[in-house]
Amino acid sequence: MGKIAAPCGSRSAGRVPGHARGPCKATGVSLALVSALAFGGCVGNINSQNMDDGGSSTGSGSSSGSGGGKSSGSGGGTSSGSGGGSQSGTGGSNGSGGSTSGTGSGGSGGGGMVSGSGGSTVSLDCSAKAPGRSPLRRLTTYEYNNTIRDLLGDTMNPGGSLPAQVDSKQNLFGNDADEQAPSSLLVEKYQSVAEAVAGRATASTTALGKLHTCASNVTTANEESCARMIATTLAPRAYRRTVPTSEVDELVAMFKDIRALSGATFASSVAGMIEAMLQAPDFLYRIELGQAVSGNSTVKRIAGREMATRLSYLFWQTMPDAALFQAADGGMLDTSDGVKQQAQKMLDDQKSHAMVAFFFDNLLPIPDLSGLTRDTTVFPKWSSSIGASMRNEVQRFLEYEIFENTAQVAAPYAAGSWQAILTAPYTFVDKTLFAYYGSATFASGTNVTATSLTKVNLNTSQRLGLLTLGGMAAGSTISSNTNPVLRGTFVLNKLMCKNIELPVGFTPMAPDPYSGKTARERYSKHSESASCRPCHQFIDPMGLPFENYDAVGMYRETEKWTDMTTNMTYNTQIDASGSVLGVDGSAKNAIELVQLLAKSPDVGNCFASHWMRFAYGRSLTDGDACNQQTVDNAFKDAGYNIKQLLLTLTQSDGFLYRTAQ
Amino acid sequence: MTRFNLNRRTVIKGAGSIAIALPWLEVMGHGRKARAQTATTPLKRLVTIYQPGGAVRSGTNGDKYTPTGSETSFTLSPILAPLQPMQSRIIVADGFNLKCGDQSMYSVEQHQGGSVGLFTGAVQQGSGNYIPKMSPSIDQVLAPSLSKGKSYSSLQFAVRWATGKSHGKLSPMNALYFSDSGAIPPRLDPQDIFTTLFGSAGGGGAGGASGSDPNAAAKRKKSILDFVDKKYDGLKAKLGTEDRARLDQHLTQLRDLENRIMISTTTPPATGSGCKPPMKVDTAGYNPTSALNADNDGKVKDLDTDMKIPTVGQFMMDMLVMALACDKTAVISLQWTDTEAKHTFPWLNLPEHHHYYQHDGGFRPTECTQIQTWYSQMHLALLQKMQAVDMGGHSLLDESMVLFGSELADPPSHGKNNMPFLLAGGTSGTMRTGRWVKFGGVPHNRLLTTILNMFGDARTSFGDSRIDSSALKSPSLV
Repeated sequence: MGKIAAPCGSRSAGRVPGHARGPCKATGVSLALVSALAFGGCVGNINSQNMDDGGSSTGSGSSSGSGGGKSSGSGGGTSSGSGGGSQSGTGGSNGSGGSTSGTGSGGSGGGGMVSGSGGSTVSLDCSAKAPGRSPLRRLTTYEYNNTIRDLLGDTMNPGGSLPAQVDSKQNLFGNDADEQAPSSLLVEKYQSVAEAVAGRATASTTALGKLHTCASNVTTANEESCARMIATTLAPRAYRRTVPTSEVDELVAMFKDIRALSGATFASSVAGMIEAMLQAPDFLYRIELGQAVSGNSTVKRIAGREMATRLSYLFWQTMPDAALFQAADGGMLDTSDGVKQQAQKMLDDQKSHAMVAFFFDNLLPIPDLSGLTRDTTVFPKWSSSIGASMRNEVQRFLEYEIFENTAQVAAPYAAGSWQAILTAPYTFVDKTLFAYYGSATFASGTNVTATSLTKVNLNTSQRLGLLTLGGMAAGSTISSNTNPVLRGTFVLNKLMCKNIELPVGFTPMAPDPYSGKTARERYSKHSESASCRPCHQFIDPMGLPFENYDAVGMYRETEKWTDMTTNMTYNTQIDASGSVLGVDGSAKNAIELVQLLAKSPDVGNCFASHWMRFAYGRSLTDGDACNQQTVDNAFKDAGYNIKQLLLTLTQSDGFLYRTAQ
Repeated sequence: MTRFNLNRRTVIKGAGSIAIALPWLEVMGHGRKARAQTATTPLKRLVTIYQPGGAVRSGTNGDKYTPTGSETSFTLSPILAPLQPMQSRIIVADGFNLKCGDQSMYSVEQHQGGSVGLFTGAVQQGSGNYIPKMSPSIDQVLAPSLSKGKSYSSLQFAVRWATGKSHGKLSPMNALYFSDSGAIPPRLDPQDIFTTLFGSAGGGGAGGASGSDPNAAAKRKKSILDFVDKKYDGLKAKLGTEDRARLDQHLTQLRDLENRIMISTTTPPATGSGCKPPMKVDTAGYNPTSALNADNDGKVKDLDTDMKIPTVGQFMMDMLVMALACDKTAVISLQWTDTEAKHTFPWLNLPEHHHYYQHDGGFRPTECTQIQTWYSQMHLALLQKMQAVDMGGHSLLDESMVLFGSELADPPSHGKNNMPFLLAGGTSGTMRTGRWVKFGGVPHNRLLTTILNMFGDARTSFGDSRIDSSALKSPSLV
């Protein structure tokens, strides 16, 4: 049972062990905060950004939009919550370390930049090519494993020996180029991993034969020429570019040096060449020189094998295959249309599904579901295998809607669109999940006996869309008690790309989850207090509607609570009303809320901005205004269809070009 | 050799009214230049040790951490009592506030502000973020000079690391050490550390069959790394400033690696010193990356790994000590888990994780005290191991400073005033130990600057410029 610090002014302050009654710290509110709050509430603290600022948080943050509690910015803003949703209070059993905090200042811009005033359509001058930043990108551990697998057929996932990757907050996907500073340990491990991989690749005649047939029966006389053939075959694939003879000569020269050492064999010397290639910058980094663009010396066009590399790591998270190299060498990736056609092919390939699943595993609070444990006395039906099933449910649902569904199931939204996903009336369950959820969860007459995931229609008076699926509810709950602030900030941060700075000047306290009554009542205190309300009046209404889904993803209409003074237990009807920042109207439950959310002008652009960060492998800055315009407009024109979004990404300047070296 | 420090008061008390005609023995005069003309052993090595969750000074059981008594005659509290055999070698340094983690001043996270600020004095850039680039930790500032010519610029070890919400990944919840370009990942696998540091010549490792001649193995490695080096160097010329700088970072590390191999092949092992490769310990059952499977709350338990923590910890400390004794580096750190601290303590019969006892389950001072007392036992072991190593007339502890710290002071409130810092090591002239010193509520940045000064770095400020980081004057560490 968790006892946490009582909220300011609460009567139970002082009766909670370990916390003396004392003056409410909320009186220490900073002047800057007060003046920011004066403008119609929390708007001064809500940043809707076109850029992620890796720099310091500047206290109360700047207002980046008009007031009145409406959407305060155009889209493409920042996701800035830590993974798995955030809570904007500190404290107690709801966990520390997961706070909402905006980064950086509001979107003030350089030339041509929209500074985020309420969904306006200021058009930019994007006639000049503006790819934005092009920082050098290194292979992530995930990409490294895939690349080794496809380069050498090694399925041991040797990247597991590399040191921990940096978990960056702005970019949710582990591929932020600015968080890839190589540590001494990393370089050391690249060496030892390369040694192991090269050893396996040359461990037997069979293995050697896979590098080149000449190695199946090599003799002293033809060793050097065979080494040359191996290098000539392998280097262009390892370096993802053409390799001139002089470079092959260097590899062969090294082979000979190693071969001459005592104890060396043909195999071990070939291994030496492989070790060298796997540590070379051409392998570990995505080197891009680009092609000249006439009349513009500040940008270069990405074409040929460099474009093959970009396409391959975006859609398949691995090195280009032979067909892609061939297309590149044939000039098919030198035009935007050519790139788009190739992208379409790759998207249609099953290999792209893993990439999409990877994206959502990092955007949504679902990766922990597979190991999630809950108090079995409170939730006897839960098990971590239910959690794993729920994660599969979410992923299968997304996969189906994005890749397979052509029917419009969530009018007025197009099939395969993000808004359709938010408001879809179906999901996927197998026999076990069906029994877990119970038949009332689904359209009447539904029965699932299959052991594989089957498409079923939801009882739409209980659930609608992604956010109401069991896995999302369970994954956005820490411990046994739902937290509407956590869920509200997930919607605000991850789905609308709005940040709220933690208040400076006092330490906010989360309410005691055991102080009785429903979550709404427990959290009402900090929504009423003058220092908490300005921000929580926006956060809480987007989280409270999800109170109908408990810590294990079950639907409930009443909440059970215990009066701590009398020890009597009650079941109180849940008030699931709420609203969406920037959208007119109110919702009486989550079903209505997600429909409002889908109408928000921020939701589509926010979703697109996550994909941009994933595709570009960095955070977004002022210089991405034109990229965002391209992507946002095309996304909208395509009815927010997600496959189209991925194709559109490849048509943005940020993908087709780079800044000149 | 035990240190025996008489303080002046004792002597004077004992002397009574008898005039002391005997010479003032060296042993009686700590802090003074000894009459006997032994040169002061300079401070040459820095060891930083982290433990999570502060110190129990509040709650229903009261203060279990703060000593009682006076500066030079004090009694250790229950939590620090295990350090009593080494009391004369430590300074209990009270009264430092971790201002850079002050939530009333800066928008920092309650644990992370402490972890990323602990050795850097820098302010976290908002919850979930790191400190600004170019905010190195003190160990990284000192490493280039202290470890000049040694195999490793610095080494970082961690036990049961990246638990809970960090899920095994480097994050502000578990990153303590920073170079100019960012957080440094620690080494986690004790077997791998052993092989790397004390394995076969050239750093061990399988593959690359080159027969039984260790020199050939090193030459082979050198051939390969030379080749790779040229690739980085050659490519730089084709790239723009930004990309070139990134490749340069990699090349710097690569050259460190090449250097290390050269040192290991050309430098004979230090003879007549305390350098003795430690015994290899069986750590089967311990999964160094167990936290990759962690859930946010610490509900997924890995008892097999947790049970091995004491064994692995001792092994890590042995390797730490020998890495110093064998002069592989002069800057080394050990991290006991991280700010999430979501592992159990089976050997203490504590079924829940540390964070639970800090506040997740409501503040449990008894259990926190148990845990912190156990950490003190580990710290004692480290100090004793260091003291037992003869570096040629003096011990490893004599020529080292050991700094113990945590990311916060008070577990339930996350308060960061009066942080639980301990220092240990040095000798007369470099550090005046055997004291409980109250520094009066000053920013800990001042401690960091002072430490840098004590190692010969003359800067007058360190960390975030908004915070007073002037060197300590009085009281002092020396």
